[in-house]
Amino acid sequence: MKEILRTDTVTRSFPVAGGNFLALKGISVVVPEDTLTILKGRSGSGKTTLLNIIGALDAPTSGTVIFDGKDISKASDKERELLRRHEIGYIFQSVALIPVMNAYENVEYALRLADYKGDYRERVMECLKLVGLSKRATHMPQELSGGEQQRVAIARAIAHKPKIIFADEPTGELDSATSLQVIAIFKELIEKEGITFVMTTHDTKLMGYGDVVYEIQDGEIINTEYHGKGEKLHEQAK
Amino acid sequence: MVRFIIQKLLNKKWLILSILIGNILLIGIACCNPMYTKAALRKLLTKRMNNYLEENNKYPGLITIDAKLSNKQVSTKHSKYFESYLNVADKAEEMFGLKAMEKVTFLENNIEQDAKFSTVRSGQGSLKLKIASLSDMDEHVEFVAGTMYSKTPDADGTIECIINEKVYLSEQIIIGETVELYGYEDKNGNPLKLRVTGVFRAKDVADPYWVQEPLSFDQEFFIDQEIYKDQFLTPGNIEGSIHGLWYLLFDYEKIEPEDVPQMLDVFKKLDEDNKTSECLYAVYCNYDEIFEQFQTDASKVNATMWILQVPVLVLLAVFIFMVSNQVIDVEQGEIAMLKSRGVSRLQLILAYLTQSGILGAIALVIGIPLGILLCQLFGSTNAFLEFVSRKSMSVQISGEALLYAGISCLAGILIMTLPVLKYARFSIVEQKTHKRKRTKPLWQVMFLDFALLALALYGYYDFNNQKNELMKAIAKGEAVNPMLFFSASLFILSCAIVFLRVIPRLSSLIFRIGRKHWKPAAYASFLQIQRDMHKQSFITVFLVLTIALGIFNANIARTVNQNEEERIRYTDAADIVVKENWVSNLDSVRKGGNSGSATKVTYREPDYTRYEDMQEKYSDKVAAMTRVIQEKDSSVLYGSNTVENVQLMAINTYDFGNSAWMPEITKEESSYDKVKRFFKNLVKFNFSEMFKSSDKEAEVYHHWYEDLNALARNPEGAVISRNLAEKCDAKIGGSITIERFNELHQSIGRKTLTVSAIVDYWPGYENLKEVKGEKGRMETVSNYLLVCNYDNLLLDYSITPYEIWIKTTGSTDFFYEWAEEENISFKSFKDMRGDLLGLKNDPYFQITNGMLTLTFIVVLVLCAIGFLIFWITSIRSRELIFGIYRAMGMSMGELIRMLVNEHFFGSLLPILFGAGVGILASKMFLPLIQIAYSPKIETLPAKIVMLGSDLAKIAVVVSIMLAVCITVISVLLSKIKINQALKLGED
Repeated sequence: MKEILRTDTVTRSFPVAGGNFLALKGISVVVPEDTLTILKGRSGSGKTTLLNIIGALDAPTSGTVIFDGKDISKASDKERELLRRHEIGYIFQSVALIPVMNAYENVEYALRLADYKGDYRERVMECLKLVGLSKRATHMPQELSGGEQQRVAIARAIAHKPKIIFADEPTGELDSATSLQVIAIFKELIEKEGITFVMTTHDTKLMGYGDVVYEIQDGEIINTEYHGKGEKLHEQAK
Repeated sequence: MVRFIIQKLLNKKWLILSILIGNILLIGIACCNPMYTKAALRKLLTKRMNNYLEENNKYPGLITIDAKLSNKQVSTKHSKYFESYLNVADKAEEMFGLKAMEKVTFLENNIEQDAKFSTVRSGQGSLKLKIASLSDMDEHVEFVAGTMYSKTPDADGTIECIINEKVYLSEQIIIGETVELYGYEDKNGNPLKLRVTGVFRAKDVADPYWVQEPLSFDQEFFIDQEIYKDQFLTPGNIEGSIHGLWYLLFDYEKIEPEDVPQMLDVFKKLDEDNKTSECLYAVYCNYDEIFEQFQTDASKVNATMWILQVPVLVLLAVFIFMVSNQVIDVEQGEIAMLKSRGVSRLQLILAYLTQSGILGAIALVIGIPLGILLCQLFGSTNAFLEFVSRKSMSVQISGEALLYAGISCLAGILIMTLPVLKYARFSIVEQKTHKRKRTKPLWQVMFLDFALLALALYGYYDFNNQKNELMKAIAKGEAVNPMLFFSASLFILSCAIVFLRVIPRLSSLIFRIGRKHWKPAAYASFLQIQRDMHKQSFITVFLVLTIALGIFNANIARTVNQNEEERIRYTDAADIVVKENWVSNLDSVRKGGNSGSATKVTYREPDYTRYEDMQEKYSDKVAAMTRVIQEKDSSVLYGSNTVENVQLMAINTYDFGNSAWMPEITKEESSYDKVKRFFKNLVKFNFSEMFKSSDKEAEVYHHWYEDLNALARNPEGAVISRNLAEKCDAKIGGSITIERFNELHQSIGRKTLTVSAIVDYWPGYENLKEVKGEKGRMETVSNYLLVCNYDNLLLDYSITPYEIWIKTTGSTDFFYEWAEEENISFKSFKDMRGDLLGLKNDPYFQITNGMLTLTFIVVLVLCAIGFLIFWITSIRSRELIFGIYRAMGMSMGELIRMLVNEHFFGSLLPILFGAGVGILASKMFLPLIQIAYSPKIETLPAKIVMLGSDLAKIAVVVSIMLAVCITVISVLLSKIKINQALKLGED
């Protein structure tokens, strides 16, 4: 099993009053393909900063990020945009649907952006079916519950068949039952669609579902856990 | 709480600043209304009074009380009556409540007295005289010879007196001479003796004290007034009757417009008193006509001010509401949070009321001085969007102005608080559910927009049908019906609202056409426009309203000004029109008959070569010059009938064509008639005719030079007006006979000419004129025109006074200098530029220009601010969505393209539509509104004037606005860090 993403001593500093604040202090992580990798940590630990960097939303101050064999740490805005369009999907914590588009259109929009070559309708319905919302395709975001909205967001993230999906606290606003449902969908998609998931969370109940779990504190990895598939991979690597 | 509010205000400083600007303008404009109206009316009143002084050479603020008193009256009703006689002037002054600047009492014995000179003299020994007295005479006379009378009689009872030069000369009196009166006795029972001590004249001829000119007294011997009263005005001791005249002179420059009704009332009351009083007196005043005219004008000025102001005030109210709504929209979450923490609805509303109160108070403090400034600005408006430095008006803050400011301030506070009522109902949970509901607005469901449009169109239809009544009412001096302006504003408003339905449909149509082909950016923006239009509806309506109103107002101003200017140019007919005083034997002809010498009036022509020399000397300033014989009261004979009121003009065609001013006259069918004809033909299935122009329009416009040429070709020819042709059934080629009269209205002969052209318009010719009919009322009668060749006229008549018409290349100052150098005195003098300047100073036009200019500027400012606010807050509120788009891989360029597309539908289309509506409204309503500004006699067909430069001004402002907006938005967008924007979602 190969790795899809790797970082090497990535740092990120932000200018603050009276100097720079070092949010990431040289992080090296590896994300294996077709797994669910969890970045764990309290708020302010730097996990979202790391997610933004590996998700091509932000560039590191130093260090390298190798995505699918390419170094993206020095990529231009344009290259990043294309990467986000075609190979990356995002899921955000809160309502991240486009409010003027219904569920179907939200999903379809990802296809438009990625200039998807296949049949839009078929793919959209397939994705909605995967998240169990094919019957609510014509509903507007504000007509859906929080969990439903998040599932549409997932459908949208996977629609253009990205290689990897980054999810920032995707269960942050959901109750635990719905949270588990979301994780179950992730797991299913890893199997069916061959997508890698990287998510941040501070919900300890979910840690067991992650194949690899990196615990971040003050911009440093303080602990790495491996479960299930991850364990096997880890052992293989050894 | 106040700290909380202030904190809140500071957080949204830009929005709050905009609301504040809105409120300041609202208060400023509202309170400048009474201040400006008052200042303008004061100016108008003073001007009218000054004109009266200039035209009649009489003091305008004069009240004259004329009363006679006889022995009989005083003895029967004794002292009470006597007192009232002596104090009639003081009583009147008290009634007016105004201090008279000058009070003159003139008392004289009504019957002339026989008297004889005490001294032996060569001339006549006796004379007839009247004993008179004028109050405070010593202050107003100076002496040609001798000195002032003394204030006490001599020891032997002789009273000193003074006389004017006229009496002095006609009676050949020697200073110091004494006359003895037969009819009067002094206190000692001896015949009354008067000793002449001096010959007086007015110290200052222009002194208003001399209501009666000093030289008008041709029999009067003036004695001291106290002596007079003592001698003649004692009850039971009155010889014949005493004639008293009291003159109350009010300083007319101090008469305030609000004094006018009261002064008229007092005058009427005095006049009525006169009927019931036994002391038969009569009251005259110089100002009643001025005042009555002024009152009509004042109400017209007032109404106009309001009519022009209301749309701006409404627009400002809408603006304040819009921005307040935006503020509260931003604060929605906060409000809901406060609600769920147990803050009651009332507390919430109170908090916002306090906030509005603070803003209102600040606006009040700034708004009132702004109002004063605006008044001064109005005073210096020269034309639409033109200012000059002019003596500033005396503007005072009146109680009324403060009241207006207060009311508008309160209105502002209410409008600012209104939007919170909507949200104060919901807690945080309800707010979320409320957000989900999206229904069509009520007015759309009920088709209120179409109902309003229908109402406006009905108004348009109705006014067009009543056009003639409207003209009559205006001619009577009434103000224009406010409903007319209301219909126009309603039309613009309803168009704007109807447009709201159009935008999403239009966008959806375009969207559907290329659904598959739209780039992601366009796709998203189309959906944004179609599904989120309700958020934008307000700014859309606002944009349409402001642009349309701006254009409409600009067009009103241009139309009204230009039509009036053209009318002045047309009636003045040339830059300078002068007529010299011609020497003639008129006086001797008038007296003649018995002397048998001269029966024909002959004139001596002044030296015309002076003018030719002038033309040469100032060849760079004089463009053309010509002589024109013009007479207003000729007659035309046809059959056995006579047409009076024929204006005769004898011209040199070539020079006349170069010197006279004639506007380009086009006959265009009004848009109302066009539409009417269109529908008429539609109903008749007469499709081919529907778009054809009417016969009226098809009438080919021909230049008036063609008429001049026709006249030039036939020396015996005549150009006549259409009404004259109709009156005497004259045709081109037919003959027409004119009869001229001299200044004594004696016929000086007839002449038959051939009609070579029939015209509707001619420089200096109006087809109606006002004449003083019976009872002194002004009546409008037809005025006819006959133009013939100058040289041809002189073949049959001797030379008569002519006018000199000069066309100048620029300023006319040189002419004044030249005339002064040459020492020429003119019988009449018309300077077109001076008259045009008068128009600019006319309060009616000044208000119109000032108000419309102000509206235009306010509209542009509001439009720009409102627009920027809307877009900036809209971008702010969509930061998260932009973050998502960016995360999904959209580039900055695409985001901007998306916004530009939104702008196309959300801004550019409304702007273009607004421009269209403005132009349409102008075409529809301007011919009606123009009526309100037309003079009593409509001389020229009114034109609808639209200046491209005004549109360009709007276009420039709008482009700057759009450019700034796009720039600001781009900067805002580029500042949005995707990760930070997305983090917003974490809160």
